[in-house]
Amino acid sequence: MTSRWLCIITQFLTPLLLMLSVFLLLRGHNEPGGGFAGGLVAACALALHMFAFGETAMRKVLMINPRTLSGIGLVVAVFSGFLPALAQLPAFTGLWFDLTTPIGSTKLGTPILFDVGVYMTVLGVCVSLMEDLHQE
Amino acid sequence: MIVALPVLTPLLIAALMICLWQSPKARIGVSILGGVLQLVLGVALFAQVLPAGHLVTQFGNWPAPFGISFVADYLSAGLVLMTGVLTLAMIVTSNVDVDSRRRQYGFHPLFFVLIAGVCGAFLTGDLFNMFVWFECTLLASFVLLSLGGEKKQVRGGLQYVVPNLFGSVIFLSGIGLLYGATGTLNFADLHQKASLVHPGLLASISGLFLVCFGLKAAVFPFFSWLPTSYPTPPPVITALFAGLLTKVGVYALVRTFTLVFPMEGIIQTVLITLSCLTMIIGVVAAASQKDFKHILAYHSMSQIGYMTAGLALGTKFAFAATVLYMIHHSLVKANLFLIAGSVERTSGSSELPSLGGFHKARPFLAILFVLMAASLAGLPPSSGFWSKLFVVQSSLRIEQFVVAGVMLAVSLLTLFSMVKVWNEVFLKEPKEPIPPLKSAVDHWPIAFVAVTVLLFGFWIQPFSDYALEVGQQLSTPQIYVEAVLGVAR
Repeated sequence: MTSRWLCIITQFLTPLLLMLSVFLLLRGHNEPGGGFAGGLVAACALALHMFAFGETAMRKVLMINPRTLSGIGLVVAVFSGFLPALAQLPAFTGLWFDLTTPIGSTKLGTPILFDVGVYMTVLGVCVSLMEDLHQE
Repeated sequence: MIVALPVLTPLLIAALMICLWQSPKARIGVSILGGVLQLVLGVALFAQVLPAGHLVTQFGNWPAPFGISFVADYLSAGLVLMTGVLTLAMIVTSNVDVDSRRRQYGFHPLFFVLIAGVCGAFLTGDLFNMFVWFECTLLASFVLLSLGGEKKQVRGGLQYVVPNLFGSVIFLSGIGLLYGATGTLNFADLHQKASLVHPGLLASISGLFLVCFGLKAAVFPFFSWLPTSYPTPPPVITALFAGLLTKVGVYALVRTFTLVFPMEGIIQTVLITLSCLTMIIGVVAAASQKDFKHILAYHSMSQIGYMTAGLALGTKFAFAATVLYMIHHSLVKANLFLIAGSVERTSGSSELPSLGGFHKARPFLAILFVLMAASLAGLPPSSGFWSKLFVVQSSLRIEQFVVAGVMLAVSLLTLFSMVKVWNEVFLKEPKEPIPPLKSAVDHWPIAFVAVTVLLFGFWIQPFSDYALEVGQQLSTPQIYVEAVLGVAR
């Protein structure tokens, strides 16, 4: 008994929101946003998808068990703290290197890896909470 | 880097456990790997700190008063090593003690988050960061306590979390006031700036910290949460709490009152009085209990009094005694809870009237119990004897005869309680025949911890040398300050 309008709008909104979440994740280092905000927006997108098309369809978009996703996110975040040790620096020191592509150049570093970990954890935890609530 | 590893590694293991949510077998494997790693890291850190004195790492490479420093001195390294020994013993026991339903609901990740929190509190050089690790252990331990959702567990969990959250509020208020007065929260920096604060203000702030850390350590009159909540979860979780959590409170007291606050005047008198009352009330309450685990929980509280008394006496030798006592008590008390757990798994109960006959059915366990009980009561030549000798001697040296008298009387009463447990659990004829042992894994961890306790008792020289070194370091905080702030410049 889901409304047809919800389904139509969600078809457009889910990819848009997911792109927005990645945008927030990447701009978060110097401007408002970051892994936590990005993860929440992505979880909103999936929540919308779940209300419109049901749980199985949402799982198809996510492609992975949300609990496992939150675990992987934590591993990535902690691992980004370990990385500077390879360069004989204290844990969680920000390491940066320049990435130059034909389109333009940017900077990549361990803080981004940490934010990606946070993004995955927040997304995983939120989605598994929503699933549990949805089942009840 | 090695300084941060005992904290980051269990966090990584906990994260791996969440990834392995669906495969119980792999989780057991990874958990044992995590236990071994924790012990190895403890040994490695200790071996590196021994020649250096202090190891410092600045998180994110931010210089000292601005970023968060992690500092391993002799005290921290010793306690992290002790945590490693207990982690391995507990994680092996947990595989027979914790049922599959509790494991399914996340026992393993919580366990390792708890270990990370405890090591973080031991290693951090920043007061606010210490608060964060306290919260980390508090949340993990609250969920561990109520995991399984039995009625008594939920009640115990609430009785545990409400006072402890209240303690956290006081902790946070103390941090706020201290930051307002000095403008820093780095221990080394605080040591330099605390002398500029008005002594009356500093004493009042230190009173707040005395209350909140006293609450975490279960010192009289803030102890009531401990005996009501400790005996409710599966015994291995209780053993973990008794071994580590109260010690974190004692450690925080030692750290702040040697580095930041002066231990003198009214605060000293109050702490000495509270310590004596803790010892007496704990042991008297234990004598009236009729449950193996309840007796141990009350003794846990009573023994905390010895440690805080050592701190309150405030001499170099008394600090050494406190440290020796902390390590001795963690190992012995955790092991006694493991023994109680083994008894409970066999008989399905830990109430003294329904037990009996274990000396014939489990001779090995009986021997282990006698060794641990003798050590807790302080019979020579056990670890407890040496620890008590140090504490009593340090109080006699500065002519605190009442304190020494209380300590001796309390250890006599401890012996009485242990004899009672021996008679009821081991010697008495059993009501029902005792079933044979299901798996040998049951006794290994107990024997493993017992070996370290025996080593402590019979080969005291290196341990006492180590404790005296700690006492030396704690009474000369200038070296700590130079080690932390010197790296930055």
